[in-house]
Amino acid sequence: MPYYVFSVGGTGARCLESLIYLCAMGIHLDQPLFPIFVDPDQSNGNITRTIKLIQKYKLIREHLPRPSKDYLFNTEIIYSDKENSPNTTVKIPNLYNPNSGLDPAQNKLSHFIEYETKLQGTDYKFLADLLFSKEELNMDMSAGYRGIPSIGSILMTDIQNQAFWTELRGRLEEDTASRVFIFASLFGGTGASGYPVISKLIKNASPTTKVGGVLMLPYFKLKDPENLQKYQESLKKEKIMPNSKSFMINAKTACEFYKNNYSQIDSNYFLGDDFEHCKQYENYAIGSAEQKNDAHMLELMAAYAAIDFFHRESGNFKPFYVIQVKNPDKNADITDVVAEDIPHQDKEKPFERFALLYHYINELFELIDKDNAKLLDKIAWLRDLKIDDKKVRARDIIDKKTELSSLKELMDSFQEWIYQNHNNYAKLNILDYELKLDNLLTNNPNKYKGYHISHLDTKFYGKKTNQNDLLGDMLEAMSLAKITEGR
Amino acid sequence: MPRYLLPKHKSLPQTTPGQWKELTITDFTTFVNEMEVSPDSKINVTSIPSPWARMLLFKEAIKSTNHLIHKEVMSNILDVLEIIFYYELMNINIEYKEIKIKNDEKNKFLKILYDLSPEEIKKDDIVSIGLLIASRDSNDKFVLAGTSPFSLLFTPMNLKHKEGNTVFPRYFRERPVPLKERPKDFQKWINSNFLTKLRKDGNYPDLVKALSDEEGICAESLKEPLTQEILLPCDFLLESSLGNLLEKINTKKISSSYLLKPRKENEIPPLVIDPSKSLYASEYYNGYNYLQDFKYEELKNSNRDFLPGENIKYPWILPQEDFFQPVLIKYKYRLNNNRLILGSYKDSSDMKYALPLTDTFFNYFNYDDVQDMLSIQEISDKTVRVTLKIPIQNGDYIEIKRDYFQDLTNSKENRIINYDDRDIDTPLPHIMIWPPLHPDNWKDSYYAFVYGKRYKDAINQEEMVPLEFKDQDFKDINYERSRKADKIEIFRLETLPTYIVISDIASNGKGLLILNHKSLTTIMNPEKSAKVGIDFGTSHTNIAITIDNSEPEVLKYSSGFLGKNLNDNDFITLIRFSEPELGREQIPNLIYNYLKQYFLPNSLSEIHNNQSVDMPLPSMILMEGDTDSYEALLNTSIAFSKDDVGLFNYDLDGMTIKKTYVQQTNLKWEPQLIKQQASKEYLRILLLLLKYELIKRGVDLKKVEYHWAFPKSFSETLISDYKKMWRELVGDVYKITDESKAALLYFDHKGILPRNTPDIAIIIDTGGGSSDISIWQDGQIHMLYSSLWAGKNLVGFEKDNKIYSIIYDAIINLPSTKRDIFQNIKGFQNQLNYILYSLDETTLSNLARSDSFYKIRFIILYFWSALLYEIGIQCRAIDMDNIKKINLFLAGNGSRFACWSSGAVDKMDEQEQEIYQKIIKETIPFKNEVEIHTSAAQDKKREVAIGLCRGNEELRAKEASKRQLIAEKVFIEANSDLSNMTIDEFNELILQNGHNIHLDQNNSEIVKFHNTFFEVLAKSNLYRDRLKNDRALSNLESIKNILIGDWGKFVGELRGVIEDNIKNYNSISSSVFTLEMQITINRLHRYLSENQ
Repeated sequence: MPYYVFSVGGTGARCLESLIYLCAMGIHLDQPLFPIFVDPDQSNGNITRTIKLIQKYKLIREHLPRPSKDYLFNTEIIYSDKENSPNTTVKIPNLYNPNSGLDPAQNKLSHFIEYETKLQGTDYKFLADLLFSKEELNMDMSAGYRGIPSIGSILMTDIQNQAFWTELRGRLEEDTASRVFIFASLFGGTGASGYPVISKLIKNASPTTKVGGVLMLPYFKLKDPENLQKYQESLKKEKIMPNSKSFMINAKTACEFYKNNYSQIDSNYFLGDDFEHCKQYENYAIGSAEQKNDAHMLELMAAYAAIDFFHRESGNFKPFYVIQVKNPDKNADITDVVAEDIPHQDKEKPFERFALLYHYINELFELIDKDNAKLLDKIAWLRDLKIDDKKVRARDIIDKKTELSSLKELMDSFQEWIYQNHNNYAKLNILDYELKLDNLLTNNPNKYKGYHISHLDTKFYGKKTNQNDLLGDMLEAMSLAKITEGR
Repeated sequence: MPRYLLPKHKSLPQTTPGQWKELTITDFTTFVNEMEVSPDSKINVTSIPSPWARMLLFKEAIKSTNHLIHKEVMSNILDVLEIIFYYELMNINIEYKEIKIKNDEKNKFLKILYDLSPEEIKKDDIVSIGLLIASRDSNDKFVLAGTSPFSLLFTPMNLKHKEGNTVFPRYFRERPVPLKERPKDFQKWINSNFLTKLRKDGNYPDLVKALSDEEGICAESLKEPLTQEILLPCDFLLESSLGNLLEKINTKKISSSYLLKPRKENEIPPLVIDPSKSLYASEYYNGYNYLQDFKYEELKNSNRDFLPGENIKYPWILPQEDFFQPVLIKYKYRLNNNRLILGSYKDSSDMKYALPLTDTFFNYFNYDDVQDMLSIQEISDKTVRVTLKIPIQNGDYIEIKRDYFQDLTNSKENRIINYDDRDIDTPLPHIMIWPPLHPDNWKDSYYAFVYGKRYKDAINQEEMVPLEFKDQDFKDINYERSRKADKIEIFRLETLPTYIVISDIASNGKGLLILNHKSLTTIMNPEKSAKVGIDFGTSHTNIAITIDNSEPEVLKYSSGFLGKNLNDNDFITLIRFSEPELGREQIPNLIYNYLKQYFLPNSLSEIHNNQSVDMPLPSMILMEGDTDSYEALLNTSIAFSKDDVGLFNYDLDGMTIKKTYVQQTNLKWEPQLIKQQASKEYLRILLLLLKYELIKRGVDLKKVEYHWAFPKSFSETLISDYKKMWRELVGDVYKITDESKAALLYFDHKGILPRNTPDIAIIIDTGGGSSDISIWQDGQIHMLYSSLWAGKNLVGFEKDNKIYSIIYDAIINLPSTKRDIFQNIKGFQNQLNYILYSLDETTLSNLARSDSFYKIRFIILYFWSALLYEIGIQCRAIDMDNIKKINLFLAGNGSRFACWSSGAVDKMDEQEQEIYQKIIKETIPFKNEVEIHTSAAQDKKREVAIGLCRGNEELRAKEASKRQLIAEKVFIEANSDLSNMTIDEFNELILQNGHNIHLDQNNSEIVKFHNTFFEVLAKSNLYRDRLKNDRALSNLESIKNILIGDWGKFVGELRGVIEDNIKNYNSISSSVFTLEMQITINRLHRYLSENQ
């Protein structure tokens, strides 16, 4: 009974990234998460970054065989890199390329609809001309649909012709608890085309399945493509390039489309921000690895929307959801998103706990890297950890460096993610953006005043863990630790 | 205040931060409607995630005026409706196709379209959509629109305007065009026709609402109904539901203030585009403004059938380019403002520019519009500005300017071309047209003389400066032409041109001369009648006319102007030379000279003057040597010139263009075809001049009677040939008589023939080839005959390239004779004719009175005495018993010689008269004393012509009672005196028997004559006092012996002459006596020539 999460396009991948972090932080989902990336450009930097996160998440979670719902990493993520083989039953892939039916050398709509061949000489050719421009017909779609969802919708429709679609439909029909959630932007190409088509096709396939999704309204800008074309040789021949100057119009027009619930989706969460103040992405790329954009606070909110949707009682789905944040409260210049804006009961707590973990792991690795067994033995919270009923010694920790490294890497990317979330017009202001220990909470610097990690560790000490695994023990210990007000 | 994590909008209700809030559809709609979009947004809506996005976009957009692209979409729909409405004007084809897609569609694309289609376009599970497909030709089909259940129509993205979009540049632009800014007819149709039908149809409420919105796309547009007659159903929609809604306008016209207001009735007046002013946003057509500011260079090569930047098939003009020539042609001399329409210029008498107007201009305007529309201004030493005021439909004018420059080195365009700087080698044609009569009066061809080096080289006929002649409707006038010399060409034009177009091949430009027909005098209702007498003489020709029985007038082609009159009077001349130019400049002098040589003289007159050509005209014509075509003035010319330097150079002139010319003289007598042709052409040219003169005098050419005379000595064959010729020349309105009768008629007309007395009057009309004699007595004509004894016998002969002519020798050596001028004339007799023709009477008189003239006087006496002796023999047949007086009237050009030594035109020397009187008395055996009176006519040389046209009709009808005798005692056999035999009888005898004649020296008339003449002469004071002093004349017996001494040889020669005549003419042609005299006078010529 998994929760299928369709991450469509680059924005979808980043929203999913946020959702994975929330899962890592211990926000509980009562069903496994089944991410499905839908993008014609799977080398897209946003996707690869999220996939790596999922892979680390899974590595880490393997050390927690039976996690309690309060534990970090407690949500199972169903993800496999392996493709279907002829000898196995059809798997639902975590990655789907809607252009997979196309010859990579002919990655154009005209090729897909056989414009130059079967349609020529028929009136259908004129029908294609009526619905699509020449540029659209001949646009290279290998890196996505470049802000033209009418094209993407055609390719997306092809998903129903894939073998796994029948499998998915079967599972959804069979498992009424399953839900589907879609992350996509409304103003781009891939996401905007995938969102309504996938939702409609799922509803067509399994009308009882609850489908929700986040539609991201414009929240970032791109560099002016006309300027870029003047200087970048590689872009000069491009006839269609995403242009953020049309984002708002496209979004507004697309919203008109959703008014009529054409996609038959149960719940649409709309998120966006004052476009005038939105940040311009440093990278301008039509797709591919270069399209690797910073995380955004709104994507985190999108992840919360998914959680909200998954937590909602059946029968309590409304078509449109939006959210307010506190700021600007008194000072019009302050637009930060603060703890009370988090649409979840735990508010900022999971972030704080994860930030502490970040610090513990960082300190640990500093000593490991220096091979400082003496100081390692003095870390109090490690003293009662046991592996195979043996107390963990500094040397054991140094030897387990590899096992611990996936956690270290995830925590490092978390720190980067938090940093990026701070770097928006609407900053995520619930943690210090650098996760400084002395000033962990910027909005309440006195909260943990006087604490030092060496003091904190006493809070962990004495917790019984039963993982018989250093990493598992450490995560269990951290999950059980309670952060309280300062002394 | 908390904010929504949403784009800027106006008023969603406040809620608790940090909690998901559900929105109702209404709230959501409000939010969407109020979502703020920056004004600098790029409106390129592509975000609808459906292949039917375009249709759905239109659907949503028409619903609300607040929709982002509501106006654009409405404008697009109006664009389609307007294109359909005007599709014929736009010259496009539209077809309608309906596509139906089923659920079980196998085609992947169609299946997806079906799966993702809006329910509204499905009917019975079939997706149905109509396509409007447009094309200019079958290869460029494109979709204009699709049908939509929501918005009636929606347009493809492909049509959305982009730079360089040439299909519908005015339509499908980002800036919506409200109905009020569209063509008026279309506005009315939308409001009064289309909307009514749409409402009635009931299927498109959103569209009806949008079109009816008071602040919508149709706001403030015209609501008046459109005349139903100008609407037609769209054929291509007959099978479609759209057929009930859409219509087309039945027009190929546009409206605009800037439509040309043509003077000619053109179905479609073109649009005038003047890029000298900023066009952008100014009025264009059908209420539209220009979308861009076209530049001249850009428009220059654009298709004139489609409006620039538009898809409208409608003619337009760029007047600077289409109405003006690329170059301005300038003459060195002034153009003739009396004859030409020259536009406005500071001083029209000083205007030198050929009008730089194009053929296109005259598609719309007439020649008489030019004066008011065009002005030429020299704005600096090197710049000329030509301005054209072009009338447009709103009653106003567009003023177009084009500047032309001197010394524009690098460009062929906008140059002033000054060919005349090359002086006599100028390619610029100087044109003179004849006759200067209005076409209402002149129905014959017009002739143009063109001087100018218009050909690339002499041999090659490639023109550098071609000419076109056009009529009032600017249609080409048919013409034939002949290049006479390198720079001379004659055109025969079917009618009088209004336009003469001068082309410059090098610059591809033209200059225009417009002839103002109104400047020509029109003779109103010419209705007079006329009689014409034509004396086509051996050496000269005269034509006399009598109008409505008035006094006869010998043809003078003259304006009365003396001098080089190249300007206005006798030709339509396009260049107006000033007096100083006429005196000094080469071109006017060359034109003047060549006119007389190849065309027509600028003045014919009777007054001997260097600037005019005297009447009568020598009977000589020039014919092209290598042509089969003989056309008056084209291949044949009368050499009117007489005395200017360089004349008779046609051989040399023709040589440069490989043309040869043949002088044809002695036309009248020769039976050969070429001579006949030459005669005909000669007369044809004279008849042209004659007709012109008659018309000028108010004669109706249908009321003209032509009288022609021939010498009695003409053979029947020759007479028959001439009759045929005359019929061809003037039709059947000619009458013939003989020359001797004609002379008689003249003297009768003058009232000097004696009546009511028995006195005899003898008229001797001596011409170049024959002398025509008439013998009259009291209303009775005794005898009419001609004798081949005339000027040509008097002046001598040429044999073996030697000239035996003491007259020629004397004349050619006169200091006042410009012998070089005449050396090109073939034949010394022709030369002599011309020389005598060129000398004034005083010079001739002085010559006649000089000592060096004794021999000439002798031969003149011999000539006239022989003639009188022969007349005397003829008179023997007449009863002279009661005669008291004989009046001898000398007439004809030959009589000039008889009067020569008197120094007067109409008087003989008294001493010479005495000799003649004695000869006559010796010849005719009078019983009583008879007074012989001799006089010469005042109208010398013109008597026949006058007599022909003015003669008494009764007399004209009279026959002579006697026939000419052979005037010699001739034997065929012994004792068979034939001296009383008539010439006709003798001819018959000779023809039948063919025997050689015999003469008895003792009784021969020729011997008697010589005895008489030398005896009379020897006794005369004239001889004794003067002639005898000439060594050659001192021994008269010796001379007589030379003339008739060797009798046997003499008779042999006579037989030869008779045989030749019989052989050539079936007649001895003259009396035997005359034939004998032809032999002796030649002997005399030889003697005198050899004894100078």
